[in-house]
Amino acid sequence: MPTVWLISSVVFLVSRLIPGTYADNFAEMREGSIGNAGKTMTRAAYLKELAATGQDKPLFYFSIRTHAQPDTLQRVFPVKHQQFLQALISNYGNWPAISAYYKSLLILQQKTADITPDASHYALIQAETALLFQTTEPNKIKSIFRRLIENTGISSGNWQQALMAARQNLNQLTKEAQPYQNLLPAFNQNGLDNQYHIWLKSFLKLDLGYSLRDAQPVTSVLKNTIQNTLLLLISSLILIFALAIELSLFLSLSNRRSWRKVVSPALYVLESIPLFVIALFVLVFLAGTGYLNLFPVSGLGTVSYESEGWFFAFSNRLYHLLLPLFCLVIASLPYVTTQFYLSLQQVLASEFITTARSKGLSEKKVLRRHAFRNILLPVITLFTGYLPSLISGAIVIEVIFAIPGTGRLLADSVLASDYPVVMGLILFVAALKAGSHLLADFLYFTADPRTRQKIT
Amino acid sequence: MIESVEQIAASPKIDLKSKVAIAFLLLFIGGALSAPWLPLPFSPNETDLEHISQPPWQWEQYRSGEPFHWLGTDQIGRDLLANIIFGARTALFISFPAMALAAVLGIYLGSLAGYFGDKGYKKSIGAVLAAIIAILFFLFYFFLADTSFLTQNDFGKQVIFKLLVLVLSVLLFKLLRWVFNQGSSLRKTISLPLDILILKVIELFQSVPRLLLVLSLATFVRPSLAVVIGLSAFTYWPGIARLVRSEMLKIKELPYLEAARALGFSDKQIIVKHALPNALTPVIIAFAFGISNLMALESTLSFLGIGIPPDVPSWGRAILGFKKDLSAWWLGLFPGLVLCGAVLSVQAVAQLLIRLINPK
Repeated sequence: MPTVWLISSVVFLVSRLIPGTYADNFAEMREGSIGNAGKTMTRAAYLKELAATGQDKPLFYFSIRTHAQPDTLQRVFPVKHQQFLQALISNYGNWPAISAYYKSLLILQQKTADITPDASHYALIQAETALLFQTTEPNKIKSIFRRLIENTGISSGNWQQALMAARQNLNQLTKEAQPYQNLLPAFNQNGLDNQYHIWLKSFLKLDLGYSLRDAQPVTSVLKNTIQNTLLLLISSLILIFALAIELSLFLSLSNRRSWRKVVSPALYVLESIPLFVIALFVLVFLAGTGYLNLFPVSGLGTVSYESEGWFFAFSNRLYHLLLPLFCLVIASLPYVTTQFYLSLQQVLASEFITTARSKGLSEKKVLRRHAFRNILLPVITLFTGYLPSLISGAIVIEVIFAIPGTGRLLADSVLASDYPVVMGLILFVAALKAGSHLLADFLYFTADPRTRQKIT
Repeated sequence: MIESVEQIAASPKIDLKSKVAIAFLLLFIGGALSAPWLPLPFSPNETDLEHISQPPWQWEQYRSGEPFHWLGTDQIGRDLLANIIFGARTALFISFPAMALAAVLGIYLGSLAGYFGDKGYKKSIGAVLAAIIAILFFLFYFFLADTSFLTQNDFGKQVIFKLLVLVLSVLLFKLLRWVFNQGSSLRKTISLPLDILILKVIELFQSVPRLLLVLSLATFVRPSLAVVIGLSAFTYWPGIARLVRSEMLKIKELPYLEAARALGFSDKQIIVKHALPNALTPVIIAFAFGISNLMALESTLSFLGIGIPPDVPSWGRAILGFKKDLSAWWLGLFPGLVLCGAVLSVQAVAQLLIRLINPK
């Protein structure tokens, strides 16, 4: 559990810290949902959106920033001006003076907008005023002011006044520049009303928020996919272990020398082939149109449970899952079989096996009743230990076979940087892992009488 | 530990399999390193739109002196041969640095955890305090402090400033340690539970499926090779750290280390000169297996289109063409074969190493 908390916290904080990622996605999503209205967003709408996503609050319980940095910069609208102000801060460091200058610029902009379009030098004034919001060097700004005064014959008192005020504030700013403030640390305590705290509270309530791609609740997005993945994972796990146990027992029979010579190099080669290569070739040869067209290429079929009856739907789904299952099993079998085989060999070397053999038990009985029982513990350990790589395998398999499961969802979400869904998936994997540990403990309990004695 | 090259080559223990593996590996490394200078008719990203999805060995199109697609092309006319050779370069340039980084980090942390254990690493409270303050100082001035008014966004000046910060942090640490150690209450030593700390971190990393970890970290960063190398190193070091730690635990109890300690060597000298050389054998083997693992991971990532930019030639990218068009068997077969061959030969060489080091 601390693992889950740590990883999701890191994912959350990183997703908010990296500039642009989160806010841009959110804005894009909103824009998509209301058409072109997003382009003419007003400041009020921007602030509302910040509040809706909780981004107007500080990120963490405390924050460390430079002394020059104000804590309300992200509320400035439009977003372009935030960069402008940031540049001013880097150069001058004196926030009150910067803010005064910025406000006077805003007033100037407003007054410029009031000028009738047919006035002389209208275009020039517009352009130069816009340029003011991009320039931070005092000399350049001054020359812009000079051009504004000299080249435009505007005598509108309000506008002139605003220009003068801006000029004065600029002088003030250059005079009172304190760039060294950028080098002083400042420590802020933000209290409990911060983004992280709010996120953590809802996270603990399993409220994972909304997908950034289609604004659906993450839990419902996950619910649609978890079923398929679980079906794939559990059935492949059972198959792998059943096959691996049988195969290792088969190979351990003493008269199987020639089999061993063939099978173990084959397993060795198979183990080194990456899963996606195996899957693609299986796909081509067993499902491709040019070869054996035995299985469906992708998807899970379109039969729904309601219309076709439970059994038909289930068997249809199983039919679609056969090929992916086959790939997963093929890819995992070598490793698991080798592990079992090695532990069987270890057990077979011990003395009680010699005793059993000398009692005249058949080789099969020795293997199944005496040796196999003693490798149950490593089998169970591997059962849980193998889950992570099986999950990794399922991701690849689901992408290749287009199965709407968690792995494909993960790949898609990563490509779209849809971080709430990614976080939900991490939670799912963690839950799976915890569940498998629980299962393993239960299995230990049933398999090994020694663990039972300790408890009672 | 390892004899000279001639001895190894002459030793009867090397069977045919290993020889083939070594030959393939040399070919792979040679091709990867010399790829930009090979007389290839096409560059890997060059699209030849007149020959789209061309199967290999179309001899009727072969005219001497003209560029020819030996192994065919993909859907947008990229030459497969060039992509395989440059793909080898990508595979090597990702797996090797990533594994080297992971090995350095893993050996460092693993030997710390194994050698010092929970009680062995003793520092005075003053030194710990000084280290914390110096680290905070470093983090603030390295990452947060806005220095553009000093450096004017000039790259050279920025580098100088960052270096200056590094030097200043070290100096600050030394100064503070000296100051703190004047006070008697701060001179008391405490032991840092390095073993528990590092083990917990290792556990944390190993409990998450590696692909999932890499994928979720890749959500937030633009795809680039450096990112993939960093992420891979980040996810592979725990395995090596765990190995080194367990070796260290064994070696620590051996008499020769006690002798070294009795002779008054410092901990650093003991770890680097006496203990680590004996712990390296499993690390070398884990290194080789890690490289084969990483080559598979690299092609898986580029196959999924995650983390590795789409303009980087890679085996996974070539195989992706096979997924798009299942009738283009050559796009799957050749890169797949090369990939498996590379993975297999690295593993075979690793096993050869095991046999050479441990002749039983």
